[in-house]
Amino acid sequence: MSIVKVDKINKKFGKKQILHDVSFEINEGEILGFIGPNGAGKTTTIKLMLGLQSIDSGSVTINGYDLKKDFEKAIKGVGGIIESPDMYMYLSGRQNLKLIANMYKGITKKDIEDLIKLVGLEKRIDDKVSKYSLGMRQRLGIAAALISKPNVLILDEPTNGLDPQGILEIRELIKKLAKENKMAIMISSHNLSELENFITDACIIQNGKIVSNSSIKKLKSLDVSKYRFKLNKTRGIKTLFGNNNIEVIDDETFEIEVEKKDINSILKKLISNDFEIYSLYKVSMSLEEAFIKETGGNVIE
Amino acid sequence: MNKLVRNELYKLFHKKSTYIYLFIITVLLVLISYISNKSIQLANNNDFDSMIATSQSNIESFKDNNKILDEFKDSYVQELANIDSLKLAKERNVDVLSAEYDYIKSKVYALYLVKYNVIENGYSYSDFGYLSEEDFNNKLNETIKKLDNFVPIEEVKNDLNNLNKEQLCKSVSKKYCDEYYNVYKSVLEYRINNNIPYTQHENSNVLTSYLEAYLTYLELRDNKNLSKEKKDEYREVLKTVKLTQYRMEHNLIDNKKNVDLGSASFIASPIDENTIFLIFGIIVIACGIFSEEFDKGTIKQLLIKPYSRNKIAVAKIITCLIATLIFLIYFIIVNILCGQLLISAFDINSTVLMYDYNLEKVLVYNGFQLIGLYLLYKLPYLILFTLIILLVSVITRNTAISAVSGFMLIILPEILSLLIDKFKPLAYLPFYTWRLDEFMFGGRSTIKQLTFNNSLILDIVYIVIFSISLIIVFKRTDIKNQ
Ligand SMILES: Nc1ncnc2c1ncn2[C@@H]1O[C@H](COP(=O)(O)OP(=O)(O)OP(=O)(O)O)[C@@H](O)[C@H]1O
Ligand SMILES: [Mg+2]
Repeated sequence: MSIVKVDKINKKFGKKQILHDVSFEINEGEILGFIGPNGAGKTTTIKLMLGLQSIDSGSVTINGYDLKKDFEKAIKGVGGIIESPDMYMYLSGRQNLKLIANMYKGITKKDIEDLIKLVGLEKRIDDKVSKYSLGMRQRLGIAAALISKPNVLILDEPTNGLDPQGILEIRELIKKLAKENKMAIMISSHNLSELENFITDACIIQNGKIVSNSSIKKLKSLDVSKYRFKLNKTRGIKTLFGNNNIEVIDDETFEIEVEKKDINSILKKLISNDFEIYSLYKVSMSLEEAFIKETGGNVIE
Repeated sequence: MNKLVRNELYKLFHKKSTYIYLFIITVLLVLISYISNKSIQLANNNDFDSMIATSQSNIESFKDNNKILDEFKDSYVQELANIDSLKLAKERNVDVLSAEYDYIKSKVYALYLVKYNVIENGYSYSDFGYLSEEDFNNKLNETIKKLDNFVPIEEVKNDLNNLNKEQLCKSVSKKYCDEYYNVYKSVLEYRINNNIPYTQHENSNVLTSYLEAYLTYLELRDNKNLSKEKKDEYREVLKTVKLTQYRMEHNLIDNKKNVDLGSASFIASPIDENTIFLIFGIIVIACGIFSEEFDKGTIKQLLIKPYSRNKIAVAKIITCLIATLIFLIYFIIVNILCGQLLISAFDINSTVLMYDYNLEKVLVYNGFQLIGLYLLYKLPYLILFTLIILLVSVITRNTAISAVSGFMLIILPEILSLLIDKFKPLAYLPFYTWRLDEFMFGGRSTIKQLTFNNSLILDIVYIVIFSISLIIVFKRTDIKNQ
């Protein structure tokens, strides 16, 4: 069931069109990776989704409520961190959380304590936030986003500043939230490889346009794969197959991206051109490469 | 909404800057009270030596090549008399504001007038006089001897005994003769009954001014066709007459009996003369509540909560007003405490007499009532001032510009007031219309076009306009990237 629906939103800053017809959906239990290079429009999209900036055209629907018309109801189910977790530095972590809890009904002390434990800040929660490290602020930010028990979580680069252990913990936490609480989660990042192990869906944005939007399973099962050939020589390979999708690794090795059904014809061509074939195997593609493949270009410009 | 306001106040009062500000202002207020108290003490102190030195230096300025210039002769003689009187007063430990001192000075002065022949014609030459040095000294000694038996109030008793109706009525038209005579007599009697001799003290001066005012009052009272200036004069004269009458009736002439006409303005000074303090406060609040949240990005957290931007803006405005009020009340308390502790003459419970021009009546308040009333009249000012700074703070999201705009609001009305005569609509700008306290007790604005009614209506209009603009601007604001 789609919880968040972003439908053809556009945004201009002055004359510069930043977002072009951006559309995607997030379903219950899904973790959507929102991926794009610096300046692609990730933060802008998230700001529009949270009502922090006005939408020029298009609509955002959350839990069935239109963000523009029913802001309070739409935003009620959303927790978020935008760019960086901006907390009141002169207050302690606990005071920050309390302030946020005050703004919702029925949040108990125990809820807050549980959250503090969940993000692992028990020891430092009564220190001023100004004394926190960036990673601790990230954890506090996630706790703050979760206070209202939202069913939508929108995180802009949430693993910024976390150590590998921290990243791992946050990943586990996010996976758990999606699975157990059936939340719809959106995580932006410019780093695809960082996300690939735990997102369920990916949406690629480039220059303000969504260039690809599909589930990870589907991406990974794309027919196109990379095959590595070991031969007696590689000279003349490129002229033989054209420059297409070929990468010569060394004197004896080259890789080529093709569909399964084309393997036979490649073998035939090699043999008839006097190449000796020593070995052939399939190289599994990383998610990033799959994207590059699908979008037909370099993700990071 | 309630929750939002509470959150905002929580934030504001957990900030160091708030307390730094309050601390600095407290120190300033205590210092100001201390200094003003010291200067009151100094003024009351009979510092004879410095007064003598002043007179002596004045005398030097009347001389050219050791010759006294003709045109300064009167002043020269006066200063000589001053010096002698001060020396005498110092010797005998006499207060310069007392009747004794007045007595000494008038006698010494008279002697000098004769000695230097000032009385007959203004231009007799120096060192030539009717009195020889010896005669002069003898007479002076006689005077000093008389001083030992001098009972100041006897002078008043003498005047009462010798009161001559015809003589008195020379200064007033016939039909008012009886009335003026009775008033004059009653004042003399009051002086005798309450032991108020002729002195330079406030209690004596009040009675003297009362009689002067009464003359003008009689002259204007029954005249139906007064010119505008005369009407204004009558207004003021009537005030003096009514106030003094009230004070005489209620035995409040003597200053020591806790009549303190100045206390109201003293207590209210944080909003009045010391507006600058409050402006710092409003800037601290406004910046904390708007610009700083934008600067630090914390506003994003707030805006993604299930409250419409309208509600958040209104909550912030209300917070600002509440905080301003809290600061103000804090200042007033500090001022009252300073007053009680540092300024011996001041007492918040003292009676304060206010004359209402419209009612033509004297009203009695205590300090607390007066502060309350004063705040009520100042309310539009506080609200408008806060709103304008908030508006600038939201539009520019810049702390420095907001601070400067606060100062402009103080300076601009002074500068523009020069142009009001030429450009009449300028008078209707908020920083003129918000001065409602000028209209307290039937007072008038220094700007002719403004009345209490049109000022109040305009203030309300301004408050509505500024609030709505503030909410609209806040609502439209895109949260920029950092
Ligand atoms: N207030 C603004 N005025 C003008 N241009 C803006 C504004 N905010 C963002 N932009 C532009 O919009 C584009 C998208 O910015 P955005 O912050 O959404 O990128 P991003 O994908 O979040 O990048 P990053 O990975 O660096 O965070 C950029 O080209 C940026 O210059
Ligand atoms: Mg960004």
